[in-house]
Amino acid sequence: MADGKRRSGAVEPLDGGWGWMIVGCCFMVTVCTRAVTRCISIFFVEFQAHFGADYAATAWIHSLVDCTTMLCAPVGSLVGNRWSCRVAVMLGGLLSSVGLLLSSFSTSLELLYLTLGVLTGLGFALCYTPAIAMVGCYFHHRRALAFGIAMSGSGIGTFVLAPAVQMLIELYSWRGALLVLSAFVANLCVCGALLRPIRLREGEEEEGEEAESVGEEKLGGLVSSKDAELAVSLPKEPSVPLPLMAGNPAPQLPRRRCFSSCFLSIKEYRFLLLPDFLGLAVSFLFLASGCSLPFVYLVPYALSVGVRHQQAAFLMSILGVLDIVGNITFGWLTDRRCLKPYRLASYVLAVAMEGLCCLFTPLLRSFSLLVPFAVLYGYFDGAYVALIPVVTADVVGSPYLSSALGVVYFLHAIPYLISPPIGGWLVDVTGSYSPTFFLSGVSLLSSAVVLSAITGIRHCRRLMLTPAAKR
Amino acid sequence: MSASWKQLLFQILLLVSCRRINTKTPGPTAPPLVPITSLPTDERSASLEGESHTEKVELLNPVNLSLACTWTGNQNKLPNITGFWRKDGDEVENSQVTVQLEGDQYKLKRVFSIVSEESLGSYSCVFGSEEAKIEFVLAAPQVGELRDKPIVSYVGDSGVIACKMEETKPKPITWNWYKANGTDKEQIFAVAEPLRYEIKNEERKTKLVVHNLTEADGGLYYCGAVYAISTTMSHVELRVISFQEPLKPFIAIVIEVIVLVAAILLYERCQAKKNYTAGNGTIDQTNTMTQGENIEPEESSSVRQRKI
Repeated sequence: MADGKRRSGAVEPLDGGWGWMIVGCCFMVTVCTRAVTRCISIFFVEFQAHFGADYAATAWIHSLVDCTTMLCAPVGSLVGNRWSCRVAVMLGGLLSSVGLLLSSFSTSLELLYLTLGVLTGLGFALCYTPAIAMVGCYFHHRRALAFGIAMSGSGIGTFVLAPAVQMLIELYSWRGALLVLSAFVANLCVCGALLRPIRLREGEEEEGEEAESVGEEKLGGLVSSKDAELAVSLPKEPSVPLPLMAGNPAPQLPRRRCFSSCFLSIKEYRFLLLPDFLGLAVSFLFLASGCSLPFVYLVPYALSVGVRHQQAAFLMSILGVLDIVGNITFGWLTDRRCLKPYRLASYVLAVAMEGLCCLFTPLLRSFSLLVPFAVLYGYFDGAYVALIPVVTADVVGSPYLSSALGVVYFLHAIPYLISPPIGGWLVDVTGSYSPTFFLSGVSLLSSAVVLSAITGIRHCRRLMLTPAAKR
Repeated sequence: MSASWKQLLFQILLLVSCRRINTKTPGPTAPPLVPITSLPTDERSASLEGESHTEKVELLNPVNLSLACTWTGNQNKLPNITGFWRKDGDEVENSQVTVQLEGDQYKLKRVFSIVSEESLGSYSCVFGSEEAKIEFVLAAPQVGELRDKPIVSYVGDSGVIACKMEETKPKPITWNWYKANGTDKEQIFAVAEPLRYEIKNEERKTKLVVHNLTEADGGLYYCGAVYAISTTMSHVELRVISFQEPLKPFIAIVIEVIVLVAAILLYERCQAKKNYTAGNGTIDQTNTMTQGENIEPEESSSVRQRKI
């Protein structure tokens, strides 16, 4: 930290101050994107009644929004890197607001797919990744807590927005509710305006920092594209070193601007070749296949074993509340000095615990047994969600966080889209919910196993190759 | 010859006496419209241990319903007790009988012919002087899943009102729609006004679509499930509002967003100008830069770093 103070002109991550404002903005972004996406399912009954469609046709809207948000996440990080996070979030807010506005006037279900599904989803994608990456820039020591608070927006937002949306539908019918919701989502522009670009310590003084005691990834994350060049010189110590742009920064300065536009796309995605990141990517694929199934099938499963409607709804509320609790507390926990080196292990533990919970679900056949399941599952679900950006930042390093997050969420898209219908097909074919929960549990456990195996192998290899260069 | 004549006489006598017996069978109100022998028969019974009990009976078609009440009696256990029947609070004529105590129980049974909507209602068998009462509520299947909140639609849009009969209940013959006009109900005939109304009937569901809504179209709508015995109604309210209503919160929030964004950007611009004019010496205090001014401070500050 003392090194940082020597540099004037660049600042180290604040870990406080305006950083908390950024966390608040990211919280609002998560509320306006993830929570609004979940609340769209409240409109299904109205769409079914008005357009005479069945459940499957209206359920596509929710899948489209979710899928587009995740699929276009790399676009969001690209825009955020090329211009700035502020521009990306404001543009995304405008786009999603327009999408919701147009959908309130739509006259057919297909038009809803386009406006609500594609346009709004694209707008959300432009906001989501840059906002999270911004939090990563502003925080270092309290990163997990900051991410936890920011991600808790989806849980708290759902909690608050669901009754509000229900009330809006009762007052103004779905058209009016979508209209008011589009104005609410326009608040994303306000959040975007508050995302001040931050310029962190630049990478050319790397050599002096090697001796620092912090065993984490190095600082120097820069979000604006013009500085991506310098950031390339910033290696993550245990992983494969990226090409060092050593030498005088000054002659690079005039070249920097044209470098950035020419080489941006290649250098930005260098981290894709990191074996650590590849292992992480595979584990994310498994994770996304398994994590959404319990949310979709818990209530039908509970009803099928004889739990009453209100109790089943209460189970979902428990999941939601514990999600929030898990976000914040697990984030705070993994920021503690004792747990910091073991962040990846905590993440793997959270995912493995979720998988185990899912495997035991078919044995739970009453409400009083399902409550502990909901508690544990909700808590660990919140836990891993808060840790995804942290773990990604640990693996690829802060400068690449924005692009890496884009790729990570992109990997989530297709499994999110296809796993609920596959789960539903399993239920139809076998007539019980056990195979679906087994599938979910096995996916989650394999995600944890893959990640721990790859990390273990690389750790052993590192120890064998460079016994002296231990942390 | 005389034997066959006697046989014929005997048959005629039998016919006459049977007819007399038939006419003695009571209907609770008006005489049956349909000959009794052509109606199917059904039986419902209930037993009572305490003081009163209510049983719901769902009927679809006209039927001869035999209602049986069994009472275990109270502490007294009198050998004889009077019992009578009531319909909707009025005593049924000639229904009072004396019930013997058989096997520690009192049994009261009567056949009612249920043919129309007037025959439906609440039938009670009463033991003694109101000592025990069992009530049978006869009704056609009620429409479930009533929507208690009004359906909201916009002027010029089309409003959709739906009624559904649950899967567990028998399906109606057809559905009718009525609009409330003051205290009356006016039936809606979609054939007469195809541009305005559209009725889509499926077995258990029905949908009324009202096109080109106006304010006058708001109000109560009744959907009636038609069964052979009667039509059960349920109502839904349709509220027609103009587009200005949700526009007000929309415009309020949009104005708030625009004001906030303008304020934030203006503030940052002023702040950046202030720092710039202060000679960039205080750059390590601020991490603020607006987009347009990213270039110059960066260059100057990195030059500065090299000097340090």
